[in-house]
Amino acid sequence: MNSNPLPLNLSRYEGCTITGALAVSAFIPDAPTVVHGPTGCAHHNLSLLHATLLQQDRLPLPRVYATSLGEQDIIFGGEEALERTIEQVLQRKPRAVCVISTCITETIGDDTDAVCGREWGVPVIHLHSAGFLGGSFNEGFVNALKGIGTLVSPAEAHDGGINIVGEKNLEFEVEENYEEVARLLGLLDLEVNVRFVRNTRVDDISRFSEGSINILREGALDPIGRHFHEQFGQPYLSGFPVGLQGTRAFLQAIGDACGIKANEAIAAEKALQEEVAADFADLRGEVINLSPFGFQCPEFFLLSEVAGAIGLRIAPEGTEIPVPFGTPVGTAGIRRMLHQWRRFLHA
Amino acid sequence: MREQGCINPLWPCAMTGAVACLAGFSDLGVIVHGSSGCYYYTETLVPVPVHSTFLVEEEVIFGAERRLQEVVGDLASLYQKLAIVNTCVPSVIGEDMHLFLEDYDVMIVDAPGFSGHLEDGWRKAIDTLEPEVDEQRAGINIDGLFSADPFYSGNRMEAERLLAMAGLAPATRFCADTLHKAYRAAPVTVAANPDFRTGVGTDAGSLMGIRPLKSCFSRIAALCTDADIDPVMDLIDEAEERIIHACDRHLRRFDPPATAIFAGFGQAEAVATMLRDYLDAEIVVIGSRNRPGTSPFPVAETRDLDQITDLIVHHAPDLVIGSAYEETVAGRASFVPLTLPIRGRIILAHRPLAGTEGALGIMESVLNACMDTKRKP
Repeated sequence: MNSNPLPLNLSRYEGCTITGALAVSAFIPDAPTVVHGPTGCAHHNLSLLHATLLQQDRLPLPRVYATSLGEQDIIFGGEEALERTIEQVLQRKPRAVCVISTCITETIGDDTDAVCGREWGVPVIHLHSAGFLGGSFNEGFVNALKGIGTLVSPAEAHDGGINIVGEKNLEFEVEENYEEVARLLGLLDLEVNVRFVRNTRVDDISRFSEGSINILREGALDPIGRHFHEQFGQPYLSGFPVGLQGTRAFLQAIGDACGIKANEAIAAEKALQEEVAADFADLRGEVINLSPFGFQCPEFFLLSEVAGAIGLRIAPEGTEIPVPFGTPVGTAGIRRMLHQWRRFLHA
Repeated sequence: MREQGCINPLWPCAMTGAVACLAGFSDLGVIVHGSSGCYYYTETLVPVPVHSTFLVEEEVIFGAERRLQEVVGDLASLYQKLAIVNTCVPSVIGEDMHLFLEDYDVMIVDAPGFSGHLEDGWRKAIDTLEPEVDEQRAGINIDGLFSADPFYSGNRMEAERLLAMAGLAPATRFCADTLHKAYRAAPVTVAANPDFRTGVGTDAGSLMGIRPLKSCFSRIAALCTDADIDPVMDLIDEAEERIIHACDRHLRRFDPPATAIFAGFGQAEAVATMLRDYLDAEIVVIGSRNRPGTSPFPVAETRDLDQITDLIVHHAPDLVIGSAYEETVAGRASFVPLTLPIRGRIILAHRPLAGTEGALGIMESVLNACMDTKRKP
């Protein structure tokens, strides 16, 4: 692969907006997705989804339609193909339809907004993507969350629990990360209102505005946090809990936002973290060297914090341990990471 | 009337086919001229490094000349020649790439995704490459080696083994060779995968399935006077005996499986014929990924997982043969992988579908899958 970008533009390497949008829309079981473009675009992204879902032991596949544009459509326009495909989707009586445009439909000038905006009987939502012309994976992901937000009905009160926003549906540990957040919320006697969006039906999405606070999966989703704050008045927390101290701070922040005293929950979590440290006491005094494998950040505070808590020393001569690809979430994530560290030290 | 939209399409586009074809030539650098999204998918299918221009929006608006020159300039010294495969947007924009790449030895393959399916792009790549036959060249060409095929390297090894047994050297491997050899192909060709035939040289036939294998080597004997096919014929007879013996034992305990096969037409028909001949299996449907020819079996052309699901539900087969997609909708039927993608299992060995080892492997997989299913509570 070429590693000399011209001009300097990081979006060059960050994948397609279609993948980002489909990583959201494919996880609404009663709202099928239409990829408006050549069959190959739908296939490429469905293939990625299939491989990911197999790894997560989740099957069958969500329903993804392609408008299957051919050369004639590219010459004469693809809007009729989109109309026909939406009609085809509606025969199965979905609660909503998501439409993802591609770079080629953007190039030939199809008015996807106009087609989606017609009276179809159910919401037909254009998730603005346009392949690489619309940015990269993250823009597709954020635009899809915003688009799906149009399914939400305004609520009079925000007392329905906590919303989880922007889970990384293609992440290998996505369910484990969610369970850890749900466990932490349970320490505060709080429950999840809506997972926005992970295997969430349209009717459940409409209850999103009843949530008292939105927990974003990561800081990159802050624009979405602000968007829903402006729309529904919900405060947001910018990211899942990371690190030992960070996990306790997460409990404090949620408690503050919800008007709940978090002292007992924090004490319970600190006790659990001490138990985890005790479980790995056999590693005390070992020397490790965090390897970035070319692109990861070994200076990440979490790693030195955990190493310090366990009694590990970080030095160049130590056993090489890769920086984890995904940041461990909460105390449970740290425990799983430490099992891997032990394996590296003993292998 | 235009084809209706496809639901859960499970076959790659023309661009992917062109890249997978050209990537088989080790001295040809392949550049996907398009965005990272197009590149990343292709990269998951092709087992050798390919490159990309990783286009961004401003290069579509203002032209990709500088970007192409940069990428081609970086790669030119690493390869004998470069192939630029056009994706959808650059193809529509239609920049004259030859004009601003005139200082480089490049071939340009216009295979945008909207122009067709995997095999269409593969064909465009071969047509652009324009391989040539050298009538004086010894040996036999091996055709149908397609880098995205999970059985690609196994097929190559098996074809080379059988040719060696007949005292013949492999000439040009299409497409797993050097560019130089593509322009010096031998006059006779055999196909390891009947769905990807270049048409270069005289076609001696397919190596897939017992009957085609016998027929192919008989034709080789007629075309190549220096071939000694007796050892190969003996080996084919021995393999056939082993298959007959195993299938007869199976039939003493079990009914033949009603079977649905989903793959390229040539591969699917070869497997269907073996199952019919040796296991008395009823082939309830062949779901062909590419345009099918005439067949004694019922055939439907489909690349749509929704249609495939309907076919499986309608025919309720005991055995489904296909890709990982068919596996997800096979229900309680036995399953055997045949075509891309194969997922959810580890493949380390170079397994073939072609040759005697390929035939034995297919029948072994079928019998084991059927037995495993029968044993399930």
